[in-house]
Amino acid sequence: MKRKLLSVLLCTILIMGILPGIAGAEGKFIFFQRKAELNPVFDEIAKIYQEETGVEMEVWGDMGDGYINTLQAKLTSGFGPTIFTVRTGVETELLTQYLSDLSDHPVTALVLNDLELVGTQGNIVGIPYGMEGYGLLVNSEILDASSVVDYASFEKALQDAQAAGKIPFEASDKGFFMVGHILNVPFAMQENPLEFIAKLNKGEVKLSETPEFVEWAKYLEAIRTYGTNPLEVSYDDQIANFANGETAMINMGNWANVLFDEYGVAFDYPMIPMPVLGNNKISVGIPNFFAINTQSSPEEQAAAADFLTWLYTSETGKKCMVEMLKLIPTVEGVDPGELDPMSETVFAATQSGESLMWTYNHWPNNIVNNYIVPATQEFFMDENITGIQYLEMLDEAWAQANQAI
Amino acid sequence: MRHSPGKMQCQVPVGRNAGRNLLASIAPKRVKTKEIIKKGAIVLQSRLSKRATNNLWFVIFVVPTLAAFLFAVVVPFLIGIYYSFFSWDGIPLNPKTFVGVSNYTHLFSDARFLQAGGRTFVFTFFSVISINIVGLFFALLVTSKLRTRNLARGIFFAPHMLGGLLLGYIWKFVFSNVFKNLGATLGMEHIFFNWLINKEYALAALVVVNTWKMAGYIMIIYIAGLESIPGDVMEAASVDGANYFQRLRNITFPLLMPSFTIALFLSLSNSFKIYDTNLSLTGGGPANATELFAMNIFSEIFKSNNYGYGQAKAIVFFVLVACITVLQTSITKKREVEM
Repeated sequence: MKRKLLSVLLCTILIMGILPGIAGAEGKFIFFQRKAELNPVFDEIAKIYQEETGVEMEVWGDMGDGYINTLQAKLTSGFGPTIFTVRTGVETELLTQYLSDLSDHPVTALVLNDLELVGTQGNIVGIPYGMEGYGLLVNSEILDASSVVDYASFEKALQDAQAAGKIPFEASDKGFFMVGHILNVPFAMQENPLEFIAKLNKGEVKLSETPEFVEWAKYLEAIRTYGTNPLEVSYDDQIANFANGETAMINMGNWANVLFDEYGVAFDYPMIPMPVLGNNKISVGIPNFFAINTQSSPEEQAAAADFLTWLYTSETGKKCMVEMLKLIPTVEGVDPGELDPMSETVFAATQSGESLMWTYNHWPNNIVNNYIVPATQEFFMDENITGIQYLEMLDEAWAQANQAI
Repeated sequence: MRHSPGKMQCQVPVGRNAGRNLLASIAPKRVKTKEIIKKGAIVLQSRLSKRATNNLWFVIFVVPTLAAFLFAVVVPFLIGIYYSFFSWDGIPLNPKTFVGVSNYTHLFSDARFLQAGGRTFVFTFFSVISINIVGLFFALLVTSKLRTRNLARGIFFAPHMLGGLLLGYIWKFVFSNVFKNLGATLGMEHIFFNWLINKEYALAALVVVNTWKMAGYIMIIYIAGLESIPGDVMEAASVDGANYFQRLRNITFPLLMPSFTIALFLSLSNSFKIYDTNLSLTGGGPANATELFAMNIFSEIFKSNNYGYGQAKAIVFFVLVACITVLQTSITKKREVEM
């Protein structure tokens, strides 16, 4: 009898758990974005939004399988989020059927410098969310950032740092922190980067024969000679060593500011361009765009569109954007407020237009982790591989990535 | 126990209707035919319903498992075969293009896939050997007269409880920090260095961790086998003057063949299909030196979005694993002996 009671009880609990899922509240939408560290903040924002408008916003956390994998699984199963974030290039092409046309959305007209996401049909499908930039961060207590202007001075700086008993340069083991970010520099320096990538995909140009890349490879050789082996350094170590003043130079972006704040970094660390062939621009881009799912119900889509309008144009929304999410504004009419030094550099670069674009979203799908990283690991493990040989390996990586079905 | 309704009254009844039949047997001897038929019907009915209940239980236990197997394994497998003939990125709204067997033919020119395959064979070979040697050694140890044998069993089995993903991260720390410091302290840098950043040693590291994880599990199987060997055979052998190693070779091992079959099968198929430890320990690096089959397939499907091609790889992978394990089972089965 007792057992029967227990099973009845369990069944009731189970059914009660399922019911709200089936019922589905009206005027509600689901929100899912890439940056895991911002999820608690979006939970707060959801509360504020519900208080102001009465509309419920369900924020999905990272489900532990990587954002894009989870998103893809959810979208393809037909239970996708209403608002999600997407990147330019390959990701936009892949998910193009799910991206609503936002050309008439009120926020689209306010977007600065044509930063909005253009879909495969040439229409606007995404609203930029946050701006990020990166370059070389120099510990000004060890080195003088303004002295690093070309290859010779870069190498000299590494030697000076070594003589001072510091780690001259440190990268870390994950794809973009090892090579992806800095490899963007010579790509973005091309006159027409996207055209260059298209030619490279067809095998019409070679990295090993392009002057920007040849010069860039010299920097990588110097990093291998003087810096630590990135295979042995985790992202956390990289940040910690720099924040503790043990590293003279790292390549990093303004997203790390939160972490540096936690360490209470006391010294100045200006962000400077990687001076390949006199390059004087840092790389700035929009990591994510808000998109609205075409497969959601019209009510949900409308609710989602209203939320984006609220977030970008209402006073409360703008406050959430700048003060809570600490994002660099991407639309008109939002006062950036007091930015941290790195973000200020990034914001100034976009204001003046003196910045390099992010090209890696246009590289072949998954090429960084699948092909470039293995080649780079090889390069860092074997001192005998020259910069040119490394570039030839990258050319080979490109060929392989394009040869795959 | 079989009994006809007529005989029932004169023997001591047993079974479900024992009470009623007992009453009947001590009742007046004059039993009407009608009653006998009635009683017979009751017995028949109870038997029938017993069979029916049994069937019901059978259904209750089997159907959920069968359904789960059908919907989670068989159906996706068949759909997978279907998709392997298409070029598709895995997004339902995007077009699927029928490409026939070109996914399969492309496989044989995919150097990276073939390399991952070769590596998987090497890895599996060494893994199976080391897992079974260590597992058997553990089993012999904890079935001996060791005083702490129960504790030892627990300790040896513990790594298996942790799961491959976690073990991978733990060992990543061991290799990259402990090994490095150990090497520096002991002055044995040629043995104790960060194995994970050396192409050959990284695969060896994977074998070590896989052994660490699987040996305890395999140990359990060997323990079961060892404990089912009758004591009198061993005793007779010792009386005949056989020493420990002679008994091991001539009695224990032949009688342990069924355990070998299972242990080899499990270690072989598990090593072949390894993904979790591979992901957390090396992530396929350095420079792809430890990318195994499962990882290659996973990244093809979920990272590079080549769903159809990845499916074709997975089917080939399945056929390979199936062939090898069937071959292994049939070989070791032949060597099993009956008592």
